[in-house]
Parts: sequence; structure tokens; C-alpha cells
Amino acid sequence: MTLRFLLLPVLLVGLLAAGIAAFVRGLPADPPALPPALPAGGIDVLYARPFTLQVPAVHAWEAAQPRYDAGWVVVLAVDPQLVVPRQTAEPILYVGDRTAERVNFGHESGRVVAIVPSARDASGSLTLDLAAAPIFFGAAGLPEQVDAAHAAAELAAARARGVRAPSAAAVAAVAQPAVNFSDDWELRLWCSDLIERWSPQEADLVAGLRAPRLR
Amino acid sequence: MPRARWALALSFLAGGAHASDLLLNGQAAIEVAQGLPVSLTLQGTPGAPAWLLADSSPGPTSAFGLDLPVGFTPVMVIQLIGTVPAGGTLQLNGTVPFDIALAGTSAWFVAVVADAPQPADWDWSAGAVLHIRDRDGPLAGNVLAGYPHFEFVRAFNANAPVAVAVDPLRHPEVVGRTGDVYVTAKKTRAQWLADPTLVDVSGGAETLAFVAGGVLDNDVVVAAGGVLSAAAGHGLGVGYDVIIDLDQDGVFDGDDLIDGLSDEAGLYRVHDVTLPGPSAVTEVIYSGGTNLGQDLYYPSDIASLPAPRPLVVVSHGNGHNYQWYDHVGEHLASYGFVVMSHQNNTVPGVETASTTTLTNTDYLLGNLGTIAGGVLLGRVDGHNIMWLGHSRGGEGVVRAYDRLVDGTYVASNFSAADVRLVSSIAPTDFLGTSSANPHGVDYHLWVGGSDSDVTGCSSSNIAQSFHLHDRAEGRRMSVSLHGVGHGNFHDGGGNEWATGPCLVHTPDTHAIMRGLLLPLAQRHLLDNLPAEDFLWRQWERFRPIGAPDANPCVVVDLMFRKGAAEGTFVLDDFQTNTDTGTSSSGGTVGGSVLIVGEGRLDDEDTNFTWDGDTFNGFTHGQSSDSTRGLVIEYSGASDVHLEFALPGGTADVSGWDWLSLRVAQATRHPLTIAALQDSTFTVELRDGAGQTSAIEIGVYGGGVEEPYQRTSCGTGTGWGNEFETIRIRLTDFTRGNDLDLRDLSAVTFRFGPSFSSPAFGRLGLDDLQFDRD
Repeated sequence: MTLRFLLLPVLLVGLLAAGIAAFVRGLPADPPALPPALPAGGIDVLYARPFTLQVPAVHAWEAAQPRYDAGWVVVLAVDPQLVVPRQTAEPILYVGDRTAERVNFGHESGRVVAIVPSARDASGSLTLDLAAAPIFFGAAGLPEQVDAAHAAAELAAARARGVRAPSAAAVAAVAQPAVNFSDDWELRLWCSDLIERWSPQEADLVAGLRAPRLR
Repeated sequence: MPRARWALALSFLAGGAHASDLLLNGQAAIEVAQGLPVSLTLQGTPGAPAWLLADSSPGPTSAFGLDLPVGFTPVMVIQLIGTVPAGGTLQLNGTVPFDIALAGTSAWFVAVVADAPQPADWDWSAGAVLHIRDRDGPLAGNVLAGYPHFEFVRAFNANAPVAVAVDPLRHPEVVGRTGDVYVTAKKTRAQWLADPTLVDVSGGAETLAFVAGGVLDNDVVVAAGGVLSAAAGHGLGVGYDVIIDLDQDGVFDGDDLIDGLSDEAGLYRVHDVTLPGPSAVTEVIYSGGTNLGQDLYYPSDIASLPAPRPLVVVSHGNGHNYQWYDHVGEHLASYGFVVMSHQNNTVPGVETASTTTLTNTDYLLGNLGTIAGGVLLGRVDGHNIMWLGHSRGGEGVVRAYDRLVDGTYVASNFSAADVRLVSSIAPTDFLGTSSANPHGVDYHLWVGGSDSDVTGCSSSNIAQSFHLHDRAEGRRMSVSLHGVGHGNFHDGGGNEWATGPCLVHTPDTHAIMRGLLLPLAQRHLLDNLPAEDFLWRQWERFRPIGAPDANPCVVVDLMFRKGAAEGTFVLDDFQTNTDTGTSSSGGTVGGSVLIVGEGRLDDEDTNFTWDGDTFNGFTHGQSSDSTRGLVIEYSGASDVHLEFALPGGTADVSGWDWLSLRVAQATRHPLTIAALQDSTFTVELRDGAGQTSAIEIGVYGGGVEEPYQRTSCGTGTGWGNEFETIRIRLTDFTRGNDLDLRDLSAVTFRFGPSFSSPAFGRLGLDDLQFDRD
């Protein structure tokens, strides 16, 4: 058998394979299954900025619905599989024993912009030290149903599987000066700039956050 | 009413004791249509003269030392009706006169007999009442391929023919006569009274010679497809009346037949409801604050449109965006609706999302003077709201309504009573029975068979959308779409979230949505009656003109159940009297069909694998839900039946218009797999005299669809069981026979080689009830 005769079937097989691949790419993808186990780490802080609000806002991501007037805006590098938006339960993002509000989804970019409420001490500094708070995804559920006990249990479970807080150096490397907003709408408007920068695929979300405000 | 009319009303008695029994057709109270016979019987002393008093008021009136059951109003008529014959029973026969002015009125009667042995005594009867039913009755419809041979319907697509038929058994007076069939512009009753002149708009009246025989011997096509304008503007259909002018004098009078004498037209010509309406649409995006981003669509000519416009609020799902519902906003706004799609805070959860639905609705209604430059001020009807939610937002709108009902949220600018319809697209069920509950609001559900997000698999209660539907206590409806994924319902692109064969994809899904959303909104926000036809008639038989018929993957199944508040007689909904031998209404249930079981419509294991569980594939409830139904099975080896006896006191069903039930094929069962096709069977009514009448449901088109052929959720092929509603007009059963709907004894379902296709099957049944138009 000559090489020429060998090449033809190989070429045909190759074309067929390419056709199948194109066909498969053309099919709608199944939603990715949630990972069977939660990760032990891997969430990096890419950006961190303390903020204050002149008008307190409600943190709807916890059962107690606490009000807050300060916190961190962080940009996190996450496993995109964990933040694919789905209607059923999703892994809940925690910073220490508090839930974080995800402002975007980040399933295409792997970058999540999140608001993490924090109390302030007498000097006005945030009491939440990012270098002391493990950042992790807990079990799938609805953040609005997370109470303090549940959050504490999730933190303990995360620590048990090896999740550690970012190092002080890592936080310091990305920390930005504090910024003040009149209210949480202004905060989210500002977050749209971060989403545009870190997760540009979410253009509709950015546009939605930038809808002109009626006064 | 002039005295002369009352005299006319009594003319049928002009032919004329212990007078305690005055009966009309053997009863003390009857309802008779104009033109139909009435027999009066009066007991009295033989040889004694008798008088009849008739009045428009029931009284009672104190007179002659008695409380007499007539009003003694100025229109009261007193007439000598004869002498009681030797047998002691005076009988008079007549026909209720066809006088338009008498339609819908009642006449109260009392008789008196002069007791011959004691002339000084007047022997008064008990009272009797005759309710004169409007002569208005259905005439327009479609010829069917089998019994009952003709269906009377309300809505006709613009491209479909319109036929008119008369059943000579119901209208024996027409036999041997020739009438002209007119299709006229719609007139109200008052307009017909003021001007009964007939002006045909269908290209000329058709002449029809009526003969003894069946309905198909007495039918005629009065308008071919394309004839009769369907240009309804912002409406859904153009109304027309149908008149059979039996004396051919060009005037609606005498005993002429009419379909449309009421405020509703006899028929409606419906344009392509998938196409945009007449108004250009203005879209404005703005924010009222955090989670108050809104994408507003309104008719650009709203200032010139009549009355405040209904409001449709759209609440998106998780990972979706409020700017992704142009296909809803643009379409409905072009027909005059104001549509607002809002930022929905779904990620924290459904409770939070429900808050966003509430706050956004409130914000819009409270800021009409500011939004869009104030153009909507005074133009939005805050008492006429539809909520449409998607996925988590679909549960959110139900939760929002629930919170209004239970008082845990009080809105500033609207209340629960202002929300006329809640519609959920592929909703989740995180919150469960007590919190995600539509209560009594009219509720509508959309489900995509290929949804790979809210999958419908029995492995997760959260992903079973039908739970919400079956909790609804009011009118409830659903649309099941084979081959449609979660992402096909919005226009944001990206992943379709669709798994399964024969996918429909977004453009065709949106065509279906447009074609059903408009009737849904028109019916529930604008009380448009013909729109209802789109919500329950078999898709195979009647669907929007612009439905994507070229796509062979399109399969649409509809559920539609009227709520108790609309007036229903539930023969069996399996919610009470849980013994399989007794219906919820108390009648006997039995037959030769195999009754597999009665119970909660809940596949309790975690898959659809056929492994013997009675309610395999049913995803309509969870352990805390009460929804129940019946599962039956028939092998096809012989004919079998399932019979529901009407309990005592319920035999008179003549006041109802429809027999309705929902039926589903059982997924992955060998008897379903053996023939993947629409399942049809026979419904039979039997009256007290043993007269029966049977209709094979396939005659109306379609049948009960086989489950969508999707895999996973266990082994085997076939997704969750989809109920479809079967509604049969009761008078269809009386076509060509003497079945007495005033004395019905049983409703029987027949299966097997002689009665069903295929001859075998396994079905779920529920919500067997009588209801009205």
C-alpha cells in the first residue's frame, strides 16, 4: 500500500472528525454540573477597596437582612464553573463568616466583583480584615436563607478542608484607598466600571447598572 | 314592559279544583328558551273555572287574606284559562314566544280555581316561575370529521372558513323552511332592538333549505378564509353576529335564529396574533434606585388611546437581565399595553426577588409623573396588572402575590386585587407549598420540555414548575412546549439551557410566546372572550396564524381549568373522598378499566425510570402539596370503561356549558412506549332514561400528547407527564339524539379497540368538572 492510499482514509477520517466537532460545537451546551466537592482554595483577591455609604443599605444576602454603611468591594478570581448562573441552588460566596454580594456573575471571565459589608470601629476603619477572613464558596443554597449559625458552620467546614485567608501581603498588594458613595446605587454604578474592566463579557449587566437614575 | 307584551307572553295559554299544584313542564321553576314548548298543568275541582295570574315580579303580595306569589304590578295579567276537565287536571300547551324584549326575563305565575261546590271559596295554587332564556345560541363553527359533526366556536383565524349549522333536533321549527344566513357587523342587544335590519358583510347572505336529518344536512360555509375583516386594531378579533332569517324578510324578527344577541358577538375574526399591533412602541430605560432599573415599553400613541392601559410587569430570572424581554415588551405594547421589565434581585433568592417585583411595580405606579417625561401619568391602570416572571423570577411573582395576600407586604400603590393574572415561565419552587402559592389569582405557567436548568426531573422539588400551577385555586392554565430550553424564553442569547431531541430554538419559541401572550393578556386584563380559545383549544386544531408550523419540532400542550369562583361543578378532582370508588362529589366511581391508583400527583422517587411507581412522571406536587389525581391503565385486549356517576341532586347539568378534564400519558411506561402518538378515547354521557351519547375526543383535533422524548433523569426515554385539558361542549352530546342534560346519570370514559387510539395506554386523569363559557 502506498502512502497516497493511506492518506485518503486519514483525510476522510479527519474531515469527518472535524465535521462532528463542528456539529457538537453547534449544539447547545448542557449546563455544567456543580463540582462534586467544594474547592479547598483557589480564590485570589485581585482588587480590594474599602467603601463607605452616606445612606445605609440592606444586605439582602443574609437572613437577618442587616443594614450596612461600609465594607469592601473586591474583585475575585474564581472557578467559572462555580458561578455559572442557574435557577436552582448555587454555591454561596463567603468572606469569613459573612456572605458576599456578587454584583456580577463572572462565569465567562472567572472574575467576580463582590460587595462585602463590614462594621467600622471607633476610628472609622473597617473591622473586617481581609487578611484574616477566608474567602470561599460554601454549599449551594440561597444566600437570603443564611443565618449566622449557618455561616459559622460553613466557615468551620471551609477551614477544615484547608481554606485559608489571603495573606496580608496579597491583600496589601491589591488594596486601594477608601472611597465614599452617597448610597448603594452609586456604589453599584461604580462597580459597573469594575465589571467592565474585569468581566467585559457582561455588557448587558453593565448597561443595566448604568441606566440613568430618575430624581 | 308594555301590557301587550305580557298578553303575548301568555297567548300560548289561551286555549284553557284543589289548585295546589301549578306546574310548568312538571316543575315549579323552569328555564325555557324562546320558541320552545311549555306545558302547564293545574290540579282543580272538575268543572270549575280557572284563572291564571302572571306578573314580572315574584311578590309576595298580601291579597285575599293570603300571601300570593306574584307582585300585582301594573303589568300583571289575569286571564281565564278554562275549566278543569273531568280528570281534575287542566293541561295547556304552548310555545314561549320569540320576542326579543322577553329574552332574559322571568314570569311568575299563580292560578286560582273557583271551587264549584263552594263558590265563595277561591282555591289558590302555589307559585310557579318561567325563566325565558335568550334565543341567542351558537350557530357559527367548524365541520368535524366525526360525531358530533360540528363544533360551535367563538374565534376563527382570518385565514379559516366559517361555517354555520343548525341541529334540526334542537330546532325542529326550521325543518322544511328556507332561511337566509346573514353575517352582520356586531350589534348589541339594544342595537338589535333599535334596528333589526339585516345587512350581510360576508359577500351576500347564504340561502339554506333546512331538512330533517343531522347537523351536516343543515350547514353552510358563510365565509371562506380571507373573507370578513380581522382588522381589530388593538383588539384581538372583529366581532360579527350570525342570523338565520327564517322568514326571509331581511329583518331580525319572529323566530329567526341568532348567534350574538348578547353583548358578545356570535363569532370573531382573529388576525395573526404573532404580528405586531398597530401602535409604534417607545422604549425607555431608567433607574429609580438600587434594583429599580426598569425597561419600559409603551405605545407611542398612548395619549390618544382610550382609558388607562393595563400594566404588564416582567421579572427576569437568575443570570438574566431586565433588558432581555423585548419580544414581550414590544409585542404587548404595540397592542396598547404598558410593559415594564425590571431589575430583579434573584441571586440572594426568591424572597428577595419577590421584593423586587413588588417594589418595582410600586415604583412605577408611584412615579408616573416622572417616568418617561410624565407621558404615562393618568394612562396606566394600576388596578389591572399582570405579572410575568421567569425562573426564579417566575417563583418570585407568585411569592410576591402570596405576600400581598397574607399581608406581609403592603404596597403603596396597588393591592392583591389589582393583580389580575400571574404568569410564570419555568419557575423554581424553592419556597414550597405555603409560600410559593398563587392562592385564588388567575395563574398561568409556561414550561419548556428541554429545560436543562429548571429541568422538571423528579430528582429535585426545586426544579418542578408544575407545583405552582397545581397550587392555584383560581383559574389555572399552562403551556408545555416540547424542545424548548430555559434560555429560549428570553432574548439575551447565550446558552439555550436546552437538552433533548428536536430543539425548537429561540425565534420559534418567541413566535409561540407572542401568539399566546397576547390572548393571555387580552383575556385576563381586557376581558376579551374570544382570546380564551387560544388558551385551551387543541393546538393542532386552532393556533395563531403565525405559529411556526414549518418547524416539525413544535409541540404545544395546553392546560386550562376554570376556578370555582367562575362557577363550576366538580364531579371529581380526587381531592376528597379518596377512596377510588367514590368521587369527590360523592358519586360512585367504577368500571372495568384497571384503576392503578388515586393519590398525590408526585413522582416520589428521584427519576422517571419506569419501575412500577403509580405516579411515575408526575411532577405536580411534593409531600406538602395536596394535588391528587387518578392513574388508569388499559391493555387493549378488550374494551373497558371508567364511569363517574352523578350524585343525587346534581343530575341537571343543563345549566353548564362544558365538560372539562385534564389527561396525561404516563412517561416511560411500556403501554406509552408501545405507540408514541396522541392518545384519544371516548367520553360518553348517559341520562336517567338510559339514553347515551359518546364523543371520541380526537374529533376536535390532537388528543393527549405523548411525553417529550428526552432522556436522563433515570433510564429510558420520555420526560415528565404533561396534562392536556379536554373540553367538550355539553350540547355536542345532544346532537341528533334525545340525551337529557337535565337528568344526567353518569359520565363514562371508554377505552380499548373500539373506543381509543391506541387501544392501550396508561393515563393520568384529573379535574373532571362542568363549567361555563
